[in-house]
Amino acid sequence: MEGYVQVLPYFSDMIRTSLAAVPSSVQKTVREIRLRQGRPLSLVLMGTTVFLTSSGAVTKSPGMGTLIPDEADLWDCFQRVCGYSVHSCEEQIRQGFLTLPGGHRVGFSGTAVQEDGKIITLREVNSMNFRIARSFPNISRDFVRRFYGDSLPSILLSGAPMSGKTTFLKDIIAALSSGKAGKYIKIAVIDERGELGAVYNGTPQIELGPCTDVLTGYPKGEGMNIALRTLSPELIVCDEIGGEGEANAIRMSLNAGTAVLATAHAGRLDALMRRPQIRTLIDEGAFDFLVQLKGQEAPCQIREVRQVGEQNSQSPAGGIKAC
Amino acid sequence: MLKLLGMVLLFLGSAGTGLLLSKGLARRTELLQLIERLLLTLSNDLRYQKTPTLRLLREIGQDESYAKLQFLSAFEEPTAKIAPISQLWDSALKKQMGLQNEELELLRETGRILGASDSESQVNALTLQQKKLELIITEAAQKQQTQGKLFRSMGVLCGLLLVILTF
Repeated sequence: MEGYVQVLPYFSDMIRTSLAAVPSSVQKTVREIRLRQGRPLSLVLMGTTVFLTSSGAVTKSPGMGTLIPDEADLWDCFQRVCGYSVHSCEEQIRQGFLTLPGGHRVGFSGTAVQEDGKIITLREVNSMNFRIARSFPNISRDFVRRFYGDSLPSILLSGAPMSGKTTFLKDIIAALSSGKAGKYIKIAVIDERGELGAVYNGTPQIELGPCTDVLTGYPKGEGMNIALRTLSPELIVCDEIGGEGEANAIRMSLNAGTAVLATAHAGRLDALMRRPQIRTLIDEGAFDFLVQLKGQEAPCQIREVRQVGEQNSQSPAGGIKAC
Repeated sequence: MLKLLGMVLLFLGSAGTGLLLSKGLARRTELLQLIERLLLTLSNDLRYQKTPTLRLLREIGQDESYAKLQFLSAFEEPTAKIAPISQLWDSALKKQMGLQNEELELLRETGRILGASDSESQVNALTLQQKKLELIITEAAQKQQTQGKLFRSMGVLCGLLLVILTF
């Protein structure tokens, strides 16, 4: 079933009717459905935002007839998303998002309830963002052939939000684990926020290949240590690195001879190089390649690749060359 | 002979009615105590395990010690369609016999609590329900004591009276 149709049951009756009436040609391009209490319901398509009317028509700007969810709609939606069992979803609610069957993600915002400086729960959810999981099968085929054809390098994949980093990463994992690089590679995925495997009730919703172990909910640093000690991975994968613990764990992986594939948020490689922990890792030669994705207008498309490690004193990027 | 039979039947009918009414009161008290246990089970699970509501109700529904709370049998089978707990709960309560409006309303309120908020809020709300239920149980137990005896005695005495009148 198409991803857009899979998420429809989670909306209140009125909103669901309007969403179902959206032309199927538009449905296929919807990446996000955004509910904000008292404000027009919007759909994020590839690179653009449109607004929904009660008849299912989409408009470029909000106006008369635009659907405006109220408190009851948000509440109904929240209850459905939690499976009418809000208490069972407390941990995910605390983290600000929930995974639905099919790997779709719902982000929440509202009034946080704090205790000792930590968020313990959310009250009065006033905004919800449904991110529809879309797969682009074999999108990483050329990438896998190019970089993993005869070796197992460590790669850092960067991109702006909605550039398709996670989607691309999932396809790479599935391809390598399924032997598409010429052999079956043992992969350990450190899935701290449950986005890569998209675990729902303990079951991964995303197929990541027969040779992939998924450590869901593990902090990245600790997860990598555990994976190295117990799973003998050939490749460790993690999403959105940046902290010191993660940097140390990456060093440990590389010292153990295990390659790393990681992602980081950055709109451009120059911006990536300005992040201290990542800069240090790059300078130490932790990664063999830096790969930059284009952006939300062309998700999962590579803009630039730079090879790290070839010492070049004349290179302004300190040993990094474009390739 | 026929007259004698009739008198016996009249006596038994009257005494039996008194006994039934008295048993009804006892049954109500028993059901209320079972509901009290149910609320405690729900609270404890919310506090320590946070089992998804439908799964928890299914487990409780399959527990034979709750067999007398017939409405729980509606949750025994996994429901094909996920619906608001309060809706499923209200619909199931229509099956429940032996309870009065007061406790039925308390149970309806309980259905609106389950799964609707974080665990702490639900536990607090269920604790309040338990306090309300305690008062109902106390009143029901007293009624069972006083009215139960009355119904049994009146049943027998009315039976005797009818026998005497038909003699």
